[in-house]
Amino acid sequence: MTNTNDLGFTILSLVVFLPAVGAIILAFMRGQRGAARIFALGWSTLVFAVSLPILFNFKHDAAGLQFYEYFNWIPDWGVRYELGLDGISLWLVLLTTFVTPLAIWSAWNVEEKTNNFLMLILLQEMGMLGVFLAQDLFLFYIFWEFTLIPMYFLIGMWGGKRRIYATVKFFLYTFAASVFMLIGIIALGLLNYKYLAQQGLPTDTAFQVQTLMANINQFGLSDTELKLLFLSFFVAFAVKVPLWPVHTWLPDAHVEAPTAGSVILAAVLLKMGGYGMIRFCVQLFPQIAQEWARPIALLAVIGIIYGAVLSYAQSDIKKLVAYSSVSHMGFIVLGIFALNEVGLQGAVLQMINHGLSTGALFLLIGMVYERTHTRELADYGGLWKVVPVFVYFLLFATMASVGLPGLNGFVGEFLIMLGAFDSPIGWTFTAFAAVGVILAAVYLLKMFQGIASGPFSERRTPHLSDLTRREVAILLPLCILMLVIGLYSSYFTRPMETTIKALEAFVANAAPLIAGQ
Amino acid sequence: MNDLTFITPEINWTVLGMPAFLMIWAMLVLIVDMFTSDRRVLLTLSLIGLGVTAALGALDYGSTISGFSDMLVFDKFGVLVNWILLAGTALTLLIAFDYMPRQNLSQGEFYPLVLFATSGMLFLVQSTDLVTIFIGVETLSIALYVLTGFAVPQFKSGEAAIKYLLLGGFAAGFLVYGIALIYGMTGKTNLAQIANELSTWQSTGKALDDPILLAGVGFVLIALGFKVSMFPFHAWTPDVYEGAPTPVTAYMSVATKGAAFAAMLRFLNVAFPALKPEWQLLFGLFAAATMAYGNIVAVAQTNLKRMLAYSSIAHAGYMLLGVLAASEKGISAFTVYLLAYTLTNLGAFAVLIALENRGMPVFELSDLRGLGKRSPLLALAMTVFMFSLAGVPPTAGFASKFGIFRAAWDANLDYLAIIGVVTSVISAFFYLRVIVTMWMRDTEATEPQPTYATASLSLGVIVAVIGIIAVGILPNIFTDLAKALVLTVAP
Repeated sequence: MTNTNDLGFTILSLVVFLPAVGAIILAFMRGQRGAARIFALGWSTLVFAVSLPILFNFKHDAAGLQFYEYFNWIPDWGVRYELGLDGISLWLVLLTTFVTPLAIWSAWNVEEKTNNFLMLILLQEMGMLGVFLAQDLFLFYIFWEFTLIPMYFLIGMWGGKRRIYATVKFFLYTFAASVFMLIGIIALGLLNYKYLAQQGLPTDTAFQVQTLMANINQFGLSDTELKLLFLSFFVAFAVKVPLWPVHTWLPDAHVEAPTAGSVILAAVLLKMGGYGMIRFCVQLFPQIAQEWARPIALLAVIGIIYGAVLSYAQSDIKKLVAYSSVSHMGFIVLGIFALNEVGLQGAVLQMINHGLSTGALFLLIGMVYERTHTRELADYGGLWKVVPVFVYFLLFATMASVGLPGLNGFVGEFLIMLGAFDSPIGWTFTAFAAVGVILAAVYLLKMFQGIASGPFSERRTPHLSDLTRREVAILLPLCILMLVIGLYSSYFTRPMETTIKALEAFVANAAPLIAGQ
Repeated sequence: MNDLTFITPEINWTVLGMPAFLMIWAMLVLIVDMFTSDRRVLLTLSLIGLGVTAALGALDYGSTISGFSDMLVFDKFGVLVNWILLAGTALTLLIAFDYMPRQNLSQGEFYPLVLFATSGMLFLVQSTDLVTIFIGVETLSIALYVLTGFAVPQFKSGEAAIKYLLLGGFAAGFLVYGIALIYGMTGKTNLAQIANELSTWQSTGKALDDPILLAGVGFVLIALGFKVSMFPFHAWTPDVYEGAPTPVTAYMSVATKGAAFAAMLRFLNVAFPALKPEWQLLFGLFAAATMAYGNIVAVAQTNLKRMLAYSSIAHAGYMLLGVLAASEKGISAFTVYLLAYTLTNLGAFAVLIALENRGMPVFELSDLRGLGKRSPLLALAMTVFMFSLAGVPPTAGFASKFGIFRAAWDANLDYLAIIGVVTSVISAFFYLRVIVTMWMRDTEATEPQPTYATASLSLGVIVAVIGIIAVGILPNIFTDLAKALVLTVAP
């Protein structure tokens, strides 16, 4: 394997495959539930620790891929094993390694088939890290589809009452959308292969994203063909994000998933869609992205409003937060298709923010559900007096999610709207998005109020006890990060600045398509 | 007396080696069977025979030798497909080993019969002449008719055998008639010579779309299409698959298909490249219909054997894409697909065998309930098989589908590639249902049903799982081997 970083070892491969090693070790720890839990927590923390050198050795001024490593995997097809990372994927990788130990720790109460549960979470981590790091379309697709398998079992085996319906819907919805991306990948790889062979260049990089970015204009594709290719990728990512109107798998999956599953789903899995839009839709098809920025922004804005309204209408707390994800992820798509530095920065930052705050909300709901076994908002009330520590954390996460200045959500949403306003998307859409911010305050405060204030009913919410030390320890790192991002956002935007500036320039300089060419 | 000399025909043992050795070995096993009733001896002997046959292919691997007046050929493609068929046969014997006596089918003839069938397949794969193709098809079919009815005290097995025999007889009739028509028009039976003859037609301005020639080609393809259960010649498949003893079903679903497809590949690409636009169009429609029909009807099945039967029809459609691509990429993708499908389908049937009780011919989906709790390893293996059949990474099923769609797209059969991925999604629905049933639904039965994961069967399942993951993660090993497969065009 060829390695280009200064660390002297292939750190990205190590980070990607360490979780899988942990999962294999767990397979040999059957029957030792307690030990397995501690091992999984320790191992995922180790993965996080191993991923930290990436942050500390990341060169802020370099626009291209860093820590680049590759070997010729399937030379006959032009497929390489290639991992690399830039300012866009840096924080998403760290978010994944950061959230996974917390999710594992939150699953302390999973009594049934504990080992399998923990193994699946580690495998899920591997798949997600692979998605953020793969720089070859074939490799990317393998990781992309692989992430379906652990989540499918997590929801299907440890989920709620309608878990089978939810998990099959989740799998088929995403699988159906992804196979069109496969066609797109095959078409691009073949075109590139032919082009490289024609130019007398080595064909082993036919599926490489960088080579494709450089060559795609030389393939002689017509406007329609480019648009179809763009769509084949976009649909897969839109379902994952999820963008209105292909969001319907999300509420079902979220509501039925076990807490740790919901956390991973909300915090990381959805971000794969946003990441894919930037990495593939925008980088490979800058002209189409520009041309279709407004229609896509329209879908995003509809999603923002629609998600918000539906969220307000929910009586189930988990469903309420699930629909709030639809609304919040709309902002991210809006930021991406602003296609300027500010918007893209806001979108990437907001992916992290949403991961932290919604992850925390799902954790909190899971914690209270474990005690009361009800998620009906109507059953709750007056928790201020009974479980104050829980309510403090709930207030904090709610405020972060609403976008209170000083906390993380505000920075991201502000940047996105600034970017969208300043782009061809224009002020009308931005104004509607701003309405979404207000609505977010309405439905999230409705939820908070319903839980925290009002009369307390011992009958409907029995056995309430305040958060344990373990639960506080899970939530604290999330909340600290929300505050830090809110106050020192520049530390987080700084590493992605160079990459995003380069991307903005790349999109702006993309040769405009001549109709009928 | 000196003027009477017996001229021995020139026998090229390299060319004939694989099928001939296996045939002779099968007869030996048949004789040994008369003196011993120890199944272990028969199994061991059979496996040794398969191993030696595979080794015979390795001796001259890479060289292309034609023999017997160019009626048979020894080339990379032939050897590669033969290896896959031999591996499939070995797996079949392993998973059948404990099943047959459990079903009271302890006749030792089972082993030589399977070897006879395989020998016919190897012969078919190496055939480059219409006559040898016919011999190959018949050799394998006759052994298979007997094997289908092997559980003959069971009503369904007898029914399946008769059905297969009657329809197979029709197909053989079509084959002979087609051969006769082609011979009548071109005066040749050798595939390469037919191609030469047709190119002389072209140079002299004689029309290629002669109705009698086209009918001949069509009849041969009907017969081969029957063997691979291509729509609309698939109707026998579900009934025969359901009725035959499960290991035989498993064997038929992979080996027969593989051999017949290999023959189809040679027939179309070597003899009729001149008619390529015609057969690509016509068979493109058949391939699309096969993929769609197999997958859509499989959704409605509750009987597992029938579901796998329809799924095997669908997979024939995918393999057909590799045949139709008619390119180096297509041939290479076809062999990878055949390997992946062989491992996966045999594995899936092996799990069914492990669950099949005596006298319980019908196998319902609901019987899999709670398998994840009862025998998690078996359920895990079945999960791998189902994901591989659906084509989900990182399994062999995905890598091979990728290769097939890539070859199809490259050959401008883009509409087939798109139909292929759409039908893959449909297939995911019913493969997932198996997984859901195993892991997420509990059994209603009060007493646990036994499972028969014996040593030999487990070995077969483990080999299949490891093979699937290996081909899925490192397809390069096999694509390197299957690289630059060019079908021999002898003079």
